[in-house]
Amino acid sequence: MNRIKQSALSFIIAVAVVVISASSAHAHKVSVFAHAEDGKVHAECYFVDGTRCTGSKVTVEDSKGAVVSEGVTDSQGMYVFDIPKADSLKIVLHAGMGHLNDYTLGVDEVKAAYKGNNSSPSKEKTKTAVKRTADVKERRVKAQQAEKAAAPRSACADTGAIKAAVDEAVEARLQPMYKMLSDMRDEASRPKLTDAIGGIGYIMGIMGIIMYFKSRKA
Amino acid sequence: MHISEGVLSAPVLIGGGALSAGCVAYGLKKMEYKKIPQVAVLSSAFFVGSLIHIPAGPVSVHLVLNGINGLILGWAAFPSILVALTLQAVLFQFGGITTLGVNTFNMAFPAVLSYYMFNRLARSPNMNIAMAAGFGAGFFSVASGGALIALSLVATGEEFTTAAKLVLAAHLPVMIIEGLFTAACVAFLRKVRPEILEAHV
Repeated sequence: MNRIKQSALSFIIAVAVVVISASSAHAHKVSVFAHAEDGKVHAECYFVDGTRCTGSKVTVEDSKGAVVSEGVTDSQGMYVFDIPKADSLKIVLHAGMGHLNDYTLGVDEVKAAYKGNNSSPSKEKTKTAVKRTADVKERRVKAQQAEKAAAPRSACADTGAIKAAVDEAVEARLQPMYKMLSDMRDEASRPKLTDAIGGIGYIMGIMGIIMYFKSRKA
Repeated sequence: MHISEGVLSAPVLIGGGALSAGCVAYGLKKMEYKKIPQVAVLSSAFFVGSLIHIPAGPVSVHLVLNGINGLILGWAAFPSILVALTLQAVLFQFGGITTLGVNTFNMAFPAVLSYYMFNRLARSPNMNIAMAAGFGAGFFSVASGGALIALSLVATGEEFTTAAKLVLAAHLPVMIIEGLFTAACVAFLRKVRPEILEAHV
């Protein structure tokens, strides 16, 4: 009878603890989330309860593990750096006291943002291409050279301008999406009440197994 | 109070793992049949205690509850804390599987020490002494847990003064809160179920 009372009491304490924790489900873990845009990578660093990691050390590694960028987070827990090369980037957050986490940006995402920034080399390429076609035409018809060369060049500039405008518009539209994704990731990485209850269930199960084996021995 | 994956060097991980394995085996052997439900309940408390968050300046910390675990369970605190830390790693991604050994030792060894230091006092007929012992157990367990974390980091190569200062500063509020919480637990248990605190080591 005593033992029943005892375990009932302990159980009430445990439930009370769960109820308290449910109202403030926070703890000790750091997360990093990053996205690449416009030649830069924006990395957000925060603790599991949403507190930003300020002044924490961040290192960035390429696919070979070489450190390509290093710095500390600002007062918003952000670390922004220029993309050094079109390679997958692993952003490692060192929040001190044994807290560490990382986030890897895929090659595709980095490449897309990298190209977007360095549009000048691709433009030069099209220019030389235009020149080459112009040379061919020069050899054939001298009189029409000016007109013919001018037409493709202006068309080219137009597509470039259109591309830039579209990029800009899409980027603006995507901004809230980035924010939403980051919030969702934040939300998903927090511990849930169901996990806490499930964990207690596991502990009770383990208790049962140990008691079973101990009782067989006795 | 959890060290994440990839922070510690292999020798520290292996050393911590070996120490914990030995202590867990000893704790399991020492664990009496009628004590098993208590171990499970305190393991559950430790497991969810990590969700109670206390903001402390630039970092966030949480209740540890290793003091009350040790005070009641003695060596059985090792299996209790190992189970709780495993589930925290799997379900909440706190700490990590490879650091389980080191984290278990860092949390459970101070718990066992506080059993030897404070259990007798917590059973004292004088209620004030008993509550002071409870406070001491909570305070000491978090403080020495923090010291062991700093030591693990130093053994891996972090500079000692930086690591120790950071850990100490971050855990000072937890030490006090944990001490008060453990004192309240002891007072409560003394009133309702004094036999829970009886020696079983």
